[in-house]
Amino acid sequence: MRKRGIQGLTHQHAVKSQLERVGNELNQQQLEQLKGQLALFKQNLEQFSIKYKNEIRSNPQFRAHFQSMCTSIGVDPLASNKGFWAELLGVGDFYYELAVQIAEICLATRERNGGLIDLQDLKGHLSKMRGSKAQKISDEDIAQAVKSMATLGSGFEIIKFGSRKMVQSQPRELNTDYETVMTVAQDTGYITVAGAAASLSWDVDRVEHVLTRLLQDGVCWTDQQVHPPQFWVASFFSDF
Amino acid sequence: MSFTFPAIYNFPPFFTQQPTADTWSRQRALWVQLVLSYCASHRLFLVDLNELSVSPLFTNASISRSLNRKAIDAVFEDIVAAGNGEWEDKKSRSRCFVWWKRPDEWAALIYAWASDNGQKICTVYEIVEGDVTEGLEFHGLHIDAVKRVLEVLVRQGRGQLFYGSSDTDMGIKFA
Repeated sequence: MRKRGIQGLTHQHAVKSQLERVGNELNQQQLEQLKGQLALFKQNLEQFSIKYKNEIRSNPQFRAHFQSMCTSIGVDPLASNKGFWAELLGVGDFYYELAVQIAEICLATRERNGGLIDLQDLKGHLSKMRGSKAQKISDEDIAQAVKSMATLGSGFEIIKFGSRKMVQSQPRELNTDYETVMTVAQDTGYITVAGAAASLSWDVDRVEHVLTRLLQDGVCWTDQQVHPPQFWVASFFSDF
Repeated sequence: MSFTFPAIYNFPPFFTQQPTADTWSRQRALWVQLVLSYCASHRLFLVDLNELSVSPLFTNASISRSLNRKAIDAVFEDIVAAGNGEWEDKKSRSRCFVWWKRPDEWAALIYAWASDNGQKICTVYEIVEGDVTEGLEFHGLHIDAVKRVLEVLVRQGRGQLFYGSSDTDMGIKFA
């Protein structure tokens, strides 16, 4: 039965504040619980990482999963060589080393590919350079290493051309025109002016402008022994 | 003798002189490498550019591409400039010694062989065609090329040339 008048209002107020108190307590409890869970998770993660230290070091797929698991709770054990994660795992230098090797390969092959190297080619060079005994490298590892170099402002970047991933080591304003033209080239390795213009519905001028620039940068090589002349993307030609 | 061409040999634009100066210079460097390893593999010491330009070295039949003569000449200019080649005919520039081993390297090999085997006096013929050098790396070295090599030994004070009635009679007294 509902109470009426002053008495009723007082009662309602009392109920409301009691509810608020209970609510706060609940919130507090949940927060404590979450904190506890997170601490436990971190602890387990530590134990896990110690237990699977070798697996993390040697298996690229495992490493990628571990890395994404860590990132989701805001720890980044592999990206830095400082702090207790690195001491714990001894993997802090991993990406640092990898980044240096990637930079070396990019510089050494820049002459030939104009500063764009196919990710798979890069991986081949890396495994040659690192020797058979070194840890296997995955695409994700390369991406992580390149990402860590990007903060240096060195122009290192991973660019996608369709399904193809390339590591760019030379800052180049690849405006979308360049990307688009190279995407057209990615299946056959080459394009012609007319062919690209037709498949993109562009002016011939626009294609020619892009190709001139790509030739100047050494990204494209031209084959004039065929009619119409073909423009080949040097880095699409593996084992170049 | 089978020679494995590098992968770039199947890259069609490799046979077209690239319009960008930087790219063209990288391309020439790649051609220089290829020419030297091709000549080493085929043991070519003195090449005639008219013949070589139609050989598989500069013509990839499987992709129907060939490097034109102007580009070949430029590649050989680079080879000569780097000390890996020497025109036999400086004026017409069609015949070139290809030093895939430089003269001083050949000289060192020949000198080492002579000292190891107690050879004091040898004719050019004995060095490049004789039974005693059978199977050695400099066996079969072109007669005109070996003369240039022996001149290196003379300059190094490691030998003295003597001349007979013909080229093959020419010889060296090792010091």
